[in-house]
Amino acid sequence: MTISIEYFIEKYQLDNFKGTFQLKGEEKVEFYNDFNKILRSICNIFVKISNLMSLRGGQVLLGLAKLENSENIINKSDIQKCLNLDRFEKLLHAFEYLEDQKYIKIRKKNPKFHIVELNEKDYPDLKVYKEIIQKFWVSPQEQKKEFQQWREKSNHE
Amino acid sequence: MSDKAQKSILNFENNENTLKSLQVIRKEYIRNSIKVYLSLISMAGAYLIYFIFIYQTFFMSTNLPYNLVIIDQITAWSFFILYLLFHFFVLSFIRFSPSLIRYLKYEINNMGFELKKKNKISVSFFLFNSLSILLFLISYLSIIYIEDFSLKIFAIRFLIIYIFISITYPIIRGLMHDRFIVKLTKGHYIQFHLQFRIIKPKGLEPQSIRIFLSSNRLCFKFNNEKKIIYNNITETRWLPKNGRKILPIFSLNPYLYFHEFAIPINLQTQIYNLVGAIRDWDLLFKPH
Repeated sequence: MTISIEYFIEKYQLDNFKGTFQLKGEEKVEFYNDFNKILRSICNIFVKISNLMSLRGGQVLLGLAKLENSENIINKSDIQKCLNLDRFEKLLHAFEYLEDQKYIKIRKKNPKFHIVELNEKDYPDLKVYKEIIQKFWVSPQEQKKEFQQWREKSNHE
Repeated sequence: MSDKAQKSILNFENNENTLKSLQVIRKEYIRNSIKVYLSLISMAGAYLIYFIFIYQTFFMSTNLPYNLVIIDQITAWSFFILYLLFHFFVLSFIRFSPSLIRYLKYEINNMGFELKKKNKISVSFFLFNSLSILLFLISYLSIIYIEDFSLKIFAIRFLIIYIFISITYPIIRGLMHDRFIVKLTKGHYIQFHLQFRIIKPKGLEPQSIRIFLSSNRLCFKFNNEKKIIYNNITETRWLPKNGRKILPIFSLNPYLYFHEFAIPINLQTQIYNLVGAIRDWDLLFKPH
């Protein structure tokens, strides 16, 4: 069973810095097992990503995981924007591949509006993946904005 | 799709499109390379014919008519001016694959940057060429005014070797590859070095086009304090410590640079990674 990072932190109160952190007997074994579960999930994620047929497939997963933090409904063009790609054709093969592999679910509301979501039901490891991405990954769209601000600021100084 | 995108016929999104795009690049690359090589060979051939046959005849004769001297002068200087024109203008503006450059320009523009051709006619270029012209003049004048026949022959041979070196040197330096930059801020930029591996018997693959990216000069290699920060940034961002090296012997550069390597499909990720590293560096050393 996949364990969530947030659940892990909460369970052992790892974000509580007031008291001492102590584990005894079975608690220590449980902690170790939980920690191993997370590491195994991360390992699975890396294996899956490194075997994705299309490089854009990995990028779509990143974008989707990131957007699920802020958006309730995500469509294909949201992912395109998040990845800062100029043409939707660049993602066509990636969506097809990910859907075939059941990594994502696509619900077609109308010919132009397709809702996309990570298939956490079939692949629970994607929950850990989502948590890591939402916490650490900076999307190209965000990067573009950050670099623009840095350049403008530097050039004005 | 925008007009620019339509003009850019290259597409690296799947195997079929990648193969088509690589074939376009290979065709352009070979066509342009043949043009350059033929020009270089014909120019070198013309110099050879002139110096081996005509010059030898000229110096072997004792009483030359004035007209012949004038013709000789005109021919020599015409060749020389042609060489300069070729060196300064033609080779400096050759683009070996216009389609690829168009593709890169468009992609980089979409990232929020602008790709510019690196100006090869810099101060060092002028210095180098001034020295070359001086050497040429010295050897040329010594051929005319030295009376000793063996010294004359030596000067002629020196001149021939010099011309060969000055023709081949720009190629060795990398004129066969396009060099571009993306200017980030006043003091920071990214350099692009393109490398083609498209004349391979095994066939074409996405890695056939290699894009080497490097930052501007960051600091002196022996500055330990800055080197620790440099190592920290390169390790965090998985940047390779060494960039493209044509010959390892020429890698004795005393300065530190950030390097990154990309192929067309991951260009955005790699460029953003390098820009991120440069920004981190800039923010750390900027006076607050």
